[in-house]
Amino acid sequence: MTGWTAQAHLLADDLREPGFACAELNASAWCARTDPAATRGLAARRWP
Amino acid sequence: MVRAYRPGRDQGPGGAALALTDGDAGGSLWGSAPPCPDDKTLVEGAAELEGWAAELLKRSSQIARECRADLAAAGAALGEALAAQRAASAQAAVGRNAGQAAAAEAALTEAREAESAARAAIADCEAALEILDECGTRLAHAANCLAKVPGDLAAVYEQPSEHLADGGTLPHSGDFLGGAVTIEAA
Repeated sequence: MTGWTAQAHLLADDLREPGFACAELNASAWCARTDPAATRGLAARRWP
Repeated sequence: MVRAYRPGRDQGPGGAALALTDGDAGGSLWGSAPPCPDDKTLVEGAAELEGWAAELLKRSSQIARECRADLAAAGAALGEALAAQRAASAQAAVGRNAGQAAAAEAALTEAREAESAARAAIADCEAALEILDECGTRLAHAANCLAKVPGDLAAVYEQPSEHLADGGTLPHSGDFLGGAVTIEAA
């Protein structure tokens, strides 16, 4: 593995960190509970 | 309404995660994590990650551009090395004395070394471009998945909004939105 290939591999490795951050955000969204205020706000906007 | 946001494996942050880790993040897409407190946090988080992906895509494109320039230079160097070999061989064939023969042999050796270096550079560039191309594809897909998060999230609001517009009512608690009970049943 020489210059350009090494750089390309480094870049490919650098994709992993944001990738796992995306997974964490996804898990965070799935773990979220609904804030009842969100629905109240929706109802208030549409059904005053 | 984050709780009602349920993107599939090929969309949203999950789709981006799988693209960027080549599938390795699959096990942690639905792992335990601090619950996302609100829509704003989700949208801002997705925007930040989209920016990260865009930066990497920019870097990938820059490396690929420089690599292609080196590939072109190596291709030209290979052509010159092969021409030099032909010239050296011709010189060796017409050499009239030992000195000329030795000079031709030295030129041939040098040209062969140049050919070898050019071929190695070409192989390096081609291997790198293959990796960079794949990285670019994965990054573009990830950025696209993340860019759609605000729209996907807005779509979550559409069904209850339509339900209200049709004269339906919503409970104050929004829990039903993320549960098994459908809006119609609620």
